[in-house]
Amino acid sequence: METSTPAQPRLSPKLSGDAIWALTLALLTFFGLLATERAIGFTRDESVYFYAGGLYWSWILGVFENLAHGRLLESFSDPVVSRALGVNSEHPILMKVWFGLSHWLFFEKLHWLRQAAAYRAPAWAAGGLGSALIFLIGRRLLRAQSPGVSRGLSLFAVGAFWLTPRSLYDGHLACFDMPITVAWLAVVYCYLRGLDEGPGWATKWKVLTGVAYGLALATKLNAFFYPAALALHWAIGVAPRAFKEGGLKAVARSIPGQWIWMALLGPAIFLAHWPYLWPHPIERIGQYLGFHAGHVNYPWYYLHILLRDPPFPLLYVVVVTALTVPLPLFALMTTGTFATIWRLGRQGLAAVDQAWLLVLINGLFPLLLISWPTVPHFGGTKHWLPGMPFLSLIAADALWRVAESAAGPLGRLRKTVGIEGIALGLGGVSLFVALVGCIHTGGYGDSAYNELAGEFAGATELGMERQFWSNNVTGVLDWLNHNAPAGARVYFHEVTYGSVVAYHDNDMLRADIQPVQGDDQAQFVPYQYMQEFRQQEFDIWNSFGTNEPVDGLYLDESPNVTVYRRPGT
Amino acid sequence: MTAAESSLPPGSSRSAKLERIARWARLAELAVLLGSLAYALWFWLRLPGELPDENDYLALQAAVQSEARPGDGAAVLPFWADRAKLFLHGIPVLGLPHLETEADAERYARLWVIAQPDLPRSDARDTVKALGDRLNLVHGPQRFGPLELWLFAPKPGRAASYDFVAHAGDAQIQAPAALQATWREFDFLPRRCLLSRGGQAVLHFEGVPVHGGLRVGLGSLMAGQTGAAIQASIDGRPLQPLELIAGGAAFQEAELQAGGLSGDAHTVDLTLVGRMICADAVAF
Repeated sequence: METSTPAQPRLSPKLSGDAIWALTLALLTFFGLLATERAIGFTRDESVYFYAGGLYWSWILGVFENLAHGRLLESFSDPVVSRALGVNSEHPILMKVWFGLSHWLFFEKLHWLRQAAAYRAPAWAAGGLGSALIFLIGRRLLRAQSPGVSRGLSLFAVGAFWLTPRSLYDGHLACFDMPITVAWLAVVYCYLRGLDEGPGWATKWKVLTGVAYGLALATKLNAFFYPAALALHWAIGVAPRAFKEGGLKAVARSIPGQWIWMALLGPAIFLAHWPYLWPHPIERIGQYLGFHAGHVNYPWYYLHILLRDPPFPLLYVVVVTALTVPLPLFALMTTGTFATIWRLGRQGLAAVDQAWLLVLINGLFPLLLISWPTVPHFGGTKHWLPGMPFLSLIAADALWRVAESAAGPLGRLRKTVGIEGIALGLGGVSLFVALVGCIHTGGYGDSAYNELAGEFAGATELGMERQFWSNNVTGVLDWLNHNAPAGARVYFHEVTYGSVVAYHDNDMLRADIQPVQGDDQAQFVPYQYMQEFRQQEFDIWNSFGTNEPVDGLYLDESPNVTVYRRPGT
Repeated sequence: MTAAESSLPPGSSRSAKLERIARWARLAELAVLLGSLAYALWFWLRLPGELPDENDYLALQAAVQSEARPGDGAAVLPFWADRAKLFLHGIPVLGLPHLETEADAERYARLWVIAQPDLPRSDARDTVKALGDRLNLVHGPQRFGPLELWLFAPKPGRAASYDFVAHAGDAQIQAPAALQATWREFDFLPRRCLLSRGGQAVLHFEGVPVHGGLRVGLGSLMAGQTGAAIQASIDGRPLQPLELIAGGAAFQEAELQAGGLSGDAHTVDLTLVGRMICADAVAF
């Protein structure tokens, strides 16, 4: 399959020692996320997943209990599964079950983690797996390089992925965006290993591709769309070569065995993991898909335009990516993408490098999918997060090419430090700059923009969304804790009741502070700036009789959360 | 094309061209990365110096408090950078883009301007310059870290002498429904105005200190409404009405020149025509 590089069958982690690297990266990622998670507040969705996770795990404990008492089937009756698993049935349950299990184990039983951290830990584990997979795919892609260079560039790809503030933010949350990113990465990894196995459809990695795909389906809806990327890979990278060699029969034979396993195991795992579907599978799968087909378009502010309804701007995804990924990394991703297209184009259909083609397609497909003008655009970069690991690998390849290019004019330097040294320097500074951005962003990754935008302030001037998920309210909780009178009534605006409960449960908000439903009942309002809610801020002014705030979260001077106090409180 | 290339077969020539393009592309790639790195480093090195800290605001607060007079207002530049509101107690703060073109720039007897020209993408410097053309500079800038404090005053005869929204309680009102002084959003910006819910509302004011005329603003909460207008008369003499132009800005403003007024106290009638319209008016 691989034509451009000599075969070096050091693909298996066991043989190459890469397993140790991959495991180390996974652990570093997990503990890095653990160490920084307190800074990140609870998003609207996350609070629902906390609740659903707890509920699902209670049901599973009930299953064990019923099993012990010989009445297992009771747990699977329609009323029971509907009551237990019907909550938040617009998403599959795999990750939520993990959230619930982790909470039960690490908070309730072992007391190792605070509540929120216990819920979030499975997402960090997924993130750790993601680091390992990026590294391993990098090693496979860059196997023409010396082991040291290949390893270094693969590490750079891992760094480029995580040091993008919005990716780092998503990686902390008990949500599905990082898990589906990792699940799809796993599908592609297995798929690639399956390609390397050669002909035959019942080989290990081909079967595992089907398993990984089933888990992806059980993680988030995105997985329904991404097989199109694999089909595209086959149509460009495999079928033409097969046709040239043996006509239509060869094309039919070239259909990857992975597809068969994806088609068989994918739906089977999806159905098996979700007992809620079992009593009425057709109807409930229809409801699940129907919910997303008719999903409401939340407003999103983009270049001074409040996007409410389709068609959305075609370049939205490209522009938002250009304004949010740290500039040097974005530069490498962009030039790397063009260079990869150029290189593969020059190879021709008959000899195209299938591994790089797979990475290129999977890097671009999620971005192109969301670019479609009728696809909902709210929520920002998380919707095309599954493309970012692949773009990070492309950036790593670009880094090496740039180092080679720099070695020409810098002949003396090349003699001293070698191309490796130049790559290390350029890559190190690129990641350092990205790290500075992550530190500056702190717990407000949902609001992060890059140097090109001018960070928070520049993006505000550009007319971009300042926040979306309400978790930045953490920036004013300390003020409320210190200044609100006992039993204060607070209207938390966009923060869900579940999130307020989570702030209480995690000792981030004084227990006596009560959430209320509107500003008319409130003594305090932490208003969260969103363009579509401007009148709500002015309603607070009208209700309180003042437009003077008493505190706020200002990110580089850009108002993000503004606290109002009813006079006389 | 060199002599050597011209003697090559067509395919080789094309290949050489592609190689040349690739070589240039690699240099361009190097330049893009180096440029990005340089810009990013420059950005992060500069940013801390562009952001004020609390001490800067406290120093600015002390400076304003020592000189502020009743009737002063303030404005922040860029228009969204309104953290100063936490420190300017009792002084109304404007946050409007293109302040230099806004009627509110002349609403107050004096206008304190808190500008942050060093913020990324800030337009504060241009706006201050444009304000300087419209208003008189009293003094400034004083610097408090990256904060700039300017004090402007309207040119003689231009400052608002009477705020009809603030004095709505003093007016005789004929309206089918109660009028309400309220903050409303127009084009995402706050406007303090009198909300008339329907029909025609007439407000009669006595003893208004008007010399040059009125500055009025009008917006409709009902998209696409036609015929909405604010009509004004001074001492019974009608001025040119402001009719809301459909498809224009959500909140439209006009200056209604009176001309030839003498004396300090006049009767002013404001008539609001339309449903769910919100009107602002000051005399000058």
